Amino acid sequence: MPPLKRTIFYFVINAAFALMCVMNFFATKELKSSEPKWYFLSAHSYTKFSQIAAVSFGYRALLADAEYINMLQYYGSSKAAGGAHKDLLSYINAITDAEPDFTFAYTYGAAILAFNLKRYDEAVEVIKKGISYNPTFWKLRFYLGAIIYSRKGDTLKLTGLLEQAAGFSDHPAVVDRMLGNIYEVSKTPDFAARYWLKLLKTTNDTETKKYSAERLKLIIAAGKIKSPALILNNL
Amino acid sequence: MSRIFAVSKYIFRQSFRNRIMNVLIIFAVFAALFSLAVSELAQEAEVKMVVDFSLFAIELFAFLTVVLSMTIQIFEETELKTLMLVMVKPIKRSEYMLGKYAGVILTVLMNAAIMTAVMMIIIRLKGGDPWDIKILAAVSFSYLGICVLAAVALLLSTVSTTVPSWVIYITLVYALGHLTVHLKNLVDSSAGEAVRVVVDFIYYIVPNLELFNLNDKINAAAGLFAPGYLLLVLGYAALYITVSLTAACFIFDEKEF
Amino acid sequence: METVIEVKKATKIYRPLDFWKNDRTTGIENVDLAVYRGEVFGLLGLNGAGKTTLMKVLLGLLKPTSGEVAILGGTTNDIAVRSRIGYLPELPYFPKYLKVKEVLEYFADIFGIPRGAQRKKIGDILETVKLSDKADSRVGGLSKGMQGRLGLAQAILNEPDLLFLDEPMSGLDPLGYKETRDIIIDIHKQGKTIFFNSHILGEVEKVCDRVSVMHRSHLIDIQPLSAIMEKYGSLEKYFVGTVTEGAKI
Repeated sequence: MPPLKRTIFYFVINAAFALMCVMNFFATKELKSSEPKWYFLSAHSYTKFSQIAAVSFGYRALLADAEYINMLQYYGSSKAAGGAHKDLLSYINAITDAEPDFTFAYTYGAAILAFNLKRYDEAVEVIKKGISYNPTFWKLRFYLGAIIYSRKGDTLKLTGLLEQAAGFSDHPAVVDRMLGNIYEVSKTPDFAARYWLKLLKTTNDTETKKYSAERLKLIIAAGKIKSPALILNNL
Repeated sequence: MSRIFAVSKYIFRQSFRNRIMNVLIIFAVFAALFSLAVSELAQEAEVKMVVDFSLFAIELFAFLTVVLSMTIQIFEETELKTLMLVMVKPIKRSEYMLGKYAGVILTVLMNAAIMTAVMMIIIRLKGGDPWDIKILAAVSFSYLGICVLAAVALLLSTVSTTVPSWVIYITLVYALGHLTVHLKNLVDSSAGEAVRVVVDFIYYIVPNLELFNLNDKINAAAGLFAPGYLLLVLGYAALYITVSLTAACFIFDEKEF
Repeated sequence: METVIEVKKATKIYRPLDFWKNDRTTGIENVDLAVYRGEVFGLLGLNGAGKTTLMKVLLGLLKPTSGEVAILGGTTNDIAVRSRIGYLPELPYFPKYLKVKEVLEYFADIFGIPRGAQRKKIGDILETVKLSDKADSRVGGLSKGMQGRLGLAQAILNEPDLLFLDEPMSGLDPLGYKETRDIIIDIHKQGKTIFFNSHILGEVEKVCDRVSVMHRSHLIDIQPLSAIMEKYGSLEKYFVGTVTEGAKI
């Protein structure tokens, strides 16, 4: 290579390297500004080894999924039920520590804590954590409202919110079941039976399917429905 | 150009004949088994899990493809001395280098494309949206990150003399590449000057792979899928690849056989 | 006579394998050599004498530590020069998974032989090296001798003006010797220059015009074959005599 050409070549390559460093700097800055503080390893975040490994190789979301399955297993086991699921909150936190963007974990966790276990304080804690990490995800505030009405016993307002929640494509199935339980108390047996029947046919969740079938049988057995044949034919 | 193409075609054929594509079968079986298991376990978050697992596996298997393909090449070149035959032919050493790079990333592209198709089919079967732009962006950027890594792999292959040492170097780069942002974040808040200089050096030299990691942001309500950020990362990747390939050509030019 | 290879005071000292050691080895030292167009030039020497090093320096695979090397009026750094030479390394290796045809297609692509002309060219070459029936076989299934002939095929694919053969007979059986020799003679007849290394003296005797002897990194003698035969009666006598003489240096 002639000397002039060589000099120009070195200059261009060095300039490219410098520009690359600058871009790295700004992209990282962008990464930092658009992500909450937990995203980066620090003395206060990611205390478990599994979390550090996940961060190191970029599989936080997968770790969160594993923690989610852990939580489901815990919630489903009879031993945990005997202890009234007292560790459920820490299981939920393990999921959202790994992936604080996993919004379904907040709504699902809060819904079972509040509507199934009646542990409103813990449910509120879960939702608040979710809001702090996902301030623009408005549905979390919506669930917060539902939990508060549920605690106050304001069935009318709670029903309104739950009915809207059931309209979201990403609502946890526990909302549907909660709504059915409320209808059984507040509406006519016919209305409740029709609701369970519709749910039975539309839901994808196996547990909800089983639950609505059970409720339907109980309502029909109680003999309060005007025309049980109509519903039985539809089953 | 035709010589570069000849080399890349050779590399592609080499990967193909050496059954590197078997990685894909492993992936397909893994993905199918996983999605079966998940439908039992995950209940309402099925689609998310399939997406998370597939994105992680695609990146991992793409990385493995680079490692396997390069391992075969380095072995052939150093132990079996096939390089001598090529180097006396009328081809520039830089052309050979670029041809190799093109061959490797084409192999990975084909693998990644097939794996993505498998993932999309499973997502569709599970009732999710396979054409979700965020998922496609995440796959593309995983691939981009692997392209950067492949450039580093080529550079490392010019300085390391044995296959095992090369494998160790590239694995180290893969891990460090994901860690640099965290290291920098840690020392920026609390460390002495000397440590900071060392970490800064690593941060600017090692490819910042975490920039390409959109896999973990699929659920984020806002943030990194903004066009400005994606363009910045794209530019970074282009420059990184250019600089590493140039360095690789420079070192390769001085090599003796 | 036109000079196709010209070497002046070429020295190659290998760098130490580990930088903390001082174990430099000398490959060749102060080699002066001229090879002329159209001749078959044989390079003799014991194992480790520096024959392969000299050939690699000529080919540009190794860079001389000092001295000058000119090939076909230029240097092997020049692609135009490289497109006019052919090289067969000792015991060439080709990827097992490729077909014989594909190996040659790969090199033909690099030589820039147009796609349309490749099929005929490769067919002819395979005919020459007697591998026509193996065109679609994988390299892995070839015998050592066949692999050697494939090596020869890739070396003459571009119809080189100057052909380098490094121990072309090693690993071959007597029939292989003859076939390879016939090919060399055939190429020679076309007026091409051939530079080859060997320690199979009988073969050298049959094909070479001039013979040189390398010993302990030095090129100690160059003689026309006819002069050797006249003076010593056989190549073996000359070689043994020269090497014993050289040992005293």
